[in-house]
Amino acid sequence: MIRLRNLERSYPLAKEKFFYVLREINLDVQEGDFISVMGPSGAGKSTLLHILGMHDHGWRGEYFLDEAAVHHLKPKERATLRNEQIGFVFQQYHLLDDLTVYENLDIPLSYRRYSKSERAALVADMLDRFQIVGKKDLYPRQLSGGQQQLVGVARAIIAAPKLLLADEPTGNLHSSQGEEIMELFRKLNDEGMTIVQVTHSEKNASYGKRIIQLRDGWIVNK
Amino acid sequence: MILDSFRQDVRVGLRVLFKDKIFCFLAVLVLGLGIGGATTQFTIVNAIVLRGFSFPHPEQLMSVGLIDPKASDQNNNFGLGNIPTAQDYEDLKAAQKSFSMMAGYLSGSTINVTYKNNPQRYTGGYVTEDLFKIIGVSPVIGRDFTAADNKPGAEKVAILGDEIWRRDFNADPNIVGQGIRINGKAATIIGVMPPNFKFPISEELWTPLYNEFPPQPRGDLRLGASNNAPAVMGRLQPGVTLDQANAEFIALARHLAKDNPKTNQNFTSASVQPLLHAFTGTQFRQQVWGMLAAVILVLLIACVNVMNMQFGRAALRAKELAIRGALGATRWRLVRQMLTESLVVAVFGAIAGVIIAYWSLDFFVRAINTLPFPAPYYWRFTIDGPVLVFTVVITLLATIASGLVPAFLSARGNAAEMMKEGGRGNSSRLVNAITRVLVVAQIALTAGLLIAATLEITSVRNQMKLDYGYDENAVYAARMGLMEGAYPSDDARREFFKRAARGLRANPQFESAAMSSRFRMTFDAQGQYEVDGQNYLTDRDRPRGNFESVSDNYFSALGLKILEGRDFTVDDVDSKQPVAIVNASFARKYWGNQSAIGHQLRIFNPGQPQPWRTIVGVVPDMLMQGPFDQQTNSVGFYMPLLGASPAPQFLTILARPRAGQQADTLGPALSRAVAEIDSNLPTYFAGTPGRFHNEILSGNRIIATLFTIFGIVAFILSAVGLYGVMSFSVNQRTQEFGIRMALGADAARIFRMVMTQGAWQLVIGLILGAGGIALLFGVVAAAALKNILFKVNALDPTIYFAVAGMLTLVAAISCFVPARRATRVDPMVALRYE
Repeated sequence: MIRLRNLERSYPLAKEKFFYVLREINLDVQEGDFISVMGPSGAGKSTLLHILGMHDHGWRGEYFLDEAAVHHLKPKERATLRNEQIGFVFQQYHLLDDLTVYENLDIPLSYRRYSKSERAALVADMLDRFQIVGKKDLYPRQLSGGQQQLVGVARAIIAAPKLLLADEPTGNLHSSQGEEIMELFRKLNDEGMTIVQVTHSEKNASYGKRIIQLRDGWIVNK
Repeated sequence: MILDSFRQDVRVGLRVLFKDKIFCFLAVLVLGLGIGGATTQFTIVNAIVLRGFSFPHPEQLMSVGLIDPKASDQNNNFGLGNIPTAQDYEDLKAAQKSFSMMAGYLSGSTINVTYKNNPQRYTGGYVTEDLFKIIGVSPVIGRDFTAADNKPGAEKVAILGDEIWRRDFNADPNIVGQGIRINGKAATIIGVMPPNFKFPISEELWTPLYNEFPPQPRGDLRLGASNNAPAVMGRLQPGVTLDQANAEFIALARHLAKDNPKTNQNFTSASVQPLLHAFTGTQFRQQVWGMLAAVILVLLIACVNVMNMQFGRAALRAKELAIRGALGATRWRLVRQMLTESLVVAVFGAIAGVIIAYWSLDFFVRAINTLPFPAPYYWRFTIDGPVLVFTVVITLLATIASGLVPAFLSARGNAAEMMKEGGRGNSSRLVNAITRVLVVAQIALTAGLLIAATLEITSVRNQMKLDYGYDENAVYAARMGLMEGAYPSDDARREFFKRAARGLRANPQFESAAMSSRFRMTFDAQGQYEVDGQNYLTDRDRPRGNFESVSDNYFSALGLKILEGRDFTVDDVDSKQPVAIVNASFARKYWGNQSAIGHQLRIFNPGQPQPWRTIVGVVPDMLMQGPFDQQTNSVGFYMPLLGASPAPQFLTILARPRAGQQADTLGPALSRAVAEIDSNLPTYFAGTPGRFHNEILSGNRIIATLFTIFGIVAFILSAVGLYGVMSFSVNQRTQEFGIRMALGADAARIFRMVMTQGAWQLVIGLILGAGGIALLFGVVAAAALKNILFKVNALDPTIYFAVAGMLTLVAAISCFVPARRATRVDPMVALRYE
């Protein structure tokens, strides 16, 4: 599903000198895979995730998503591809403070071509599936951290992406809440969703089918 | 203790402000503009309305007038009332008990003086003997007037003003007792008034009233402009209130009306008002206060701007405040610190404002000095104690208005949360809501101000592009006064008119010459008239129109053709066959397509019935009342000046240059030509009618200019404010935009979001501002505006839409930059923001 070839990401320092965040990344991710990316702080984990998510465009190399050559796509085409294929889960949940749970779930759909009735049906389904119907009119600040991340995951998958990218999804949660989220990821993976997560936790990493270790921008194992 | 912490807060405030130079500069500039504008306008209000006279107990000085309750406000001298005859003043004075003293005066009069064979025209006052005593000012050289001086037939005396004594009488210390000629009669100088004294308005010398104009017995009374009835003032007895004085004079007016129905039947009420009101006029005072309101609005807009900037800063400093809170600072202590910083900014703003006020007052005084009519001498536009107190008060209010809410909200943040959030700030919904409301308020205030300014500018533009009906720059005009001394009878004046007409027309420099009663070729008489064949049930049914006395050749001198009938001739004499020429509007109004020739009209004057005049000609319409009157229509008629009975004392002479010569170069030739006819007769108010019309609008132009400046300042402040708030809002929402983009929003959608937010604020602000001003101008102040706005509909939709369009444009530009910035948010950076 994903094919990275000689992917590099760097930032200019002084004259013609660069600081490399990622070096010669070659990676294949199969459909239905569940990969955990690990490594110390500054290893390039989040950068890799943002490149996969097509938020970062300043890289070199080749990136194929399915058969699409992302490295040849224009930003607008990348945005379209991202909207069709990718969902995001963040460590800080990043729910919009001024919107209710229902409205937060509706946002990704509002940015895609769904009719109003389709959106209502999908949101209702998702509320049901995650058992948060009773919380649909609450604001994020009225939820616990675990509940907020639950909404964050629901929001990430509501538009039925094939690939779910998660940046330390349990980083702000206590262990039981973290387990709940990881179980949810496993279930989603079992249902066929491809997942790439960044984590510091060995335990959470073990939910994945594969672990990738990053050190100073290099993949040190696969 | 509090003082110590205040000092510390000031020190910290100065340090923080100097660190944040852009904020400091912008805030001081914005507040400086607001405080400067308010200080300037308050100096003007203080000079014109508040400070008043420097005489002892000026609050006791009152004006007195009789009121016709059924007449219009304008005909009742805008509520001040009139004294119909000098005899009314004498009767009132004898009967009243409210005043300890009363005095009568004619101000702003022309007085011709010849000193050492040099004729000069001065603006003087004809006054009763008590005028200087009532105000408590005495001559510094010589003596005051006595009752004996004021008697008709007494030896003529005069008191000089300090300025002309120095300028035209060489500051001669032995001036008292020297002889001059006043209005052609021998007179003696008896005194010189103190420096800077020009009471009541801008008089340069004074002479007794009844000595010049003996009061006529009631049986021989003349109503109208030529009866020389004085304006009247009185000084309230100690303990007598304004209401008591009004009650007494209303009762006296009823008695006079009952006892003298021929002259006073309509004047059944009276008005006693502070003298200062009589000199400034209600409409003018309203205008001056209105302008202060306008600059206070500008100051409010400035405060709103600074408040928004403070919100921006408070958000950035939230962590610092949280730490202070965690270290034990109470909420009140934090509020005090923030307020002290606001005070420091406001004090710098006030200093800038006072400098701006000095500069703009200098500009204003120079503009005032170009006015054709001198401003009252007691108007002194100086920044004195009361003005500085006002500046201090508005500075404190500006501090509170711009700083209190941001200080209060930023001091209420939760320290623990704030520090946990890593200093992102308490961008609470409340702050966002307040800043949005502030922008709405700012747009509303600016819309209101811009609409008011545009209406005023349109009014002045209408006045400036009026068609007077002739080429105003093709003739030269000058005014002259034929005083009783040199021209004691109607015959003497008529003889002068004929000599003058002959002399001027024989002058090779003039193609034609004529005479008119029109003042500065701008205003003339206005009143009720009657037309033959019309029935008038009551006096009030008679229409109002304009009339003017003119010599033969007047119309040709102005380049106009007689449309029907004939011009006046030297043989048109009122005592033989009174005639009139009507304008086209008059003829059309009464006789449509029929000929007006042969019909009759007359001026309506119940006190002194006027002769019926036979219409002998019809001429094109000319504007007969200048650029202010919009009450009467263009209907008007002309009467022969050379054969008028009584013959007018004041007239304007007109000369048209020969082909190839400019009219405005005729001044010296016209002066020489008049001197050849009477070497003791000064001419004044000389120039082309075009210049007079231009000068007469200079006051309105100043007001329009000030409104334009206020409007531009408000406009700029609004643009800056809107930009600031949108910019602040975009900064606050960076993370939100990042999330939205990560969830699939494209740049166009984010751009639309920001622009839509601005658009909502704009629309609500425009509706509130335009709606508010429409309500104010169309309903609340509609009557007052009729006198202020010249041929402008206060609800003119084009003006409202134009202002809305302008503000929309500036709002679009102000929102565009932040909106563009929002689209460039890097989701990766935004999502790591925390």
